[in-house]
Amino acid sequence: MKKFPAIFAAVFLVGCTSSTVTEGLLVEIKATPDAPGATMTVSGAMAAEGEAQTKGFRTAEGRYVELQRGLLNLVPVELVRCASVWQRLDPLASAYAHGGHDGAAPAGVVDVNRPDGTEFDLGSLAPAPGSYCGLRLQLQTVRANPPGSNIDMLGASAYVAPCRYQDLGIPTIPGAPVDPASAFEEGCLEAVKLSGGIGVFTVTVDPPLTMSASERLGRLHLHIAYDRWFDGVDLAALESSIEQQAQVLANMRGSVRASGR
Amino acid sequence: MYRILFLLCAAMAVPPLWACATCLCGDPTLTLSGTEKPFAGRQRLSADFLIRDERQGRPNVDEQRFEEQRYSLGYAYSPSQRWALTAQLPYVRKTVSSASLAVAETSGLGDLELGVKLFLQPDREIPIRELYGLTAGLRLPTAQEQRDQNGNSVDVDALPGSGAFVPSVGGWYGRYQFPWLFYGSAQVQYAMDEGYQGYRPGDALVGTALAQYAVLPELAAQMALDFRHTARNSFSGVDDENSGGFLAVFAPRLIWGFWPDWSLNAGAQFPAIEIYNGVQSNEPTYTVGLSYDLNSED
Repeated sequence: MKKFPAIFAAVFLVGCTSSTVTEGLLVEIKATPDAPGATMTVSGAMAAEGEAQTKGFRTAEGRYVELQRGLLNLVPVELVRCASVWQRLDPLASAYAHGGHDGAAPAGVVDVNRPDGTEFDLGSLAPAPGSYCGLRLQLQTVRANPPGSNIDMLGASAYVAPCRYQDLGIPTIPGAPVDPASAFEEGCLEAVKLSGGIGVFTVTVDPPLTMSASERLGRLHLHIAYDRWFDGVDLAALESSIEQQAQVLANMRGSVRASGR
Repeated sequence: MYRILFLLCAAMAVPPLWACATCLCGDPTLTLSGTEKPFAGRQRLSADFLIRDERQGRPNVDEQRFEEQRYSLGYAYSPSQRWALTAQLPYVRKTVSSASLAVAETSGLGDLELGVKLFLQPDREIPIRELYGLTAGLRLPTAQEQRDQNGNSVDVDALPGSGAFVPSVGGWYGRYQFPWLFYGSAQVQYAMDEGYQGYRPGDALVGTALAQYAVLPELAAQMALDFRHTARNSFSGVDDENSGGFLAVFAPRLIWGFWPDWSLNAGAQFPAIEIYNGVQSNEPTYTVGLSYDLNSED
């Protein structure tokens, strides 16, 4: 047996661990119900502050609708860069960013029956430095029902329970104050689950959101004008008609607008 | 004389171990167990250094860059002429930087790799022309899950290990015709469970085909084609789209027996065929290693 040298001794650092993390750029995204033309209705006892409230509003055609329940699962997908000269949205330069390893930003079910201005956290995106003029969103299918809720949204991206009313000889003026005494209820839909279909759409961010090494935290607010959801929709046929449901989903996508920082 | 030279060349056929948790390409058994027929009681020590650079995602959009330096210490022991047992423990330094300017830096012990190599060829008189057999291994989740300076968990991509048990099985073959050596092997790896943060490495098929030529009695030149085919990694059951695929690399190497029982090796892996899932790229990998036979056969 040969003698073996002592060179292999004292080579390793055993059990020496260390870690440091520098946070990157982050854009927080919030959503709020925002329909100035809508009013909250109270049935029975005064509802507690912050609880879901039935909301009444007129459609573009002047029809009066009360929304007993309105939920949509809105998920931020990516920020879209501005083109340098024309400030148009450049899909070829879109900055996809995901919030985590599960491949999708944290989902947020927005409940429009909460008081207008209530903030819902839709998570965050981690973009590269640059200016962003758009936010791509998706009406995403719910994989788990909202916690604390007895509403079943599994497999749907939106949920509505509207009541339609027939005005009795009163001129229908969009945005006009509603006099419940002038209308009678034609019918209520208890639960209509809507699937997102194509689902992905883009909203403009104006003014553009600029992120850099010196501007590392940004915020985007999504305002949801839920009183536009039933424009051009035949509520009597909504429950059974795929076309009417698709129209509601299209209206939902169009009801979202974004504002920055 | 030729017997001694042949054995020396065969003992030099010890390409280093690329045992990264997610980047393994080539034969993971060659470093310690070697390609020559062992003798009972043989012991070998090795120290290897590897540096690599890998990218995922689109530049200036969602790209992540993974830079790694790996220092590995290994030990091999042959209880008989039919078996070689190996153990290898790395110390890993990793930096993960993202397009969003986020940076995570970690250092620490990686996952322990245990291996066994079985020699199946019939007993024959020297010179030995062919050797072949089976391999089996197990990667143990000995790397710690780390927290940053604020107490938050560091992303699993930046950790020195995956946190998962990964067994492997395979086969190998060697043909010896001095001054040439031809060697080929393949191995399948399978993660038994999810590791840290729900991460599960994709199942992998790795292997190598190499040719070695003894330029001088103490110097050998090697050229290998290493490959890996990997399924996508997943996080809590959801596939990582920018992971997995097929990679083949050209791996030139020099092995120098600069002193009796001592050898130094240095080489690189240059990507040749890259068929990835999603958007990925690999820079060349560079390695250098030192091995010492504690008790070479007289």
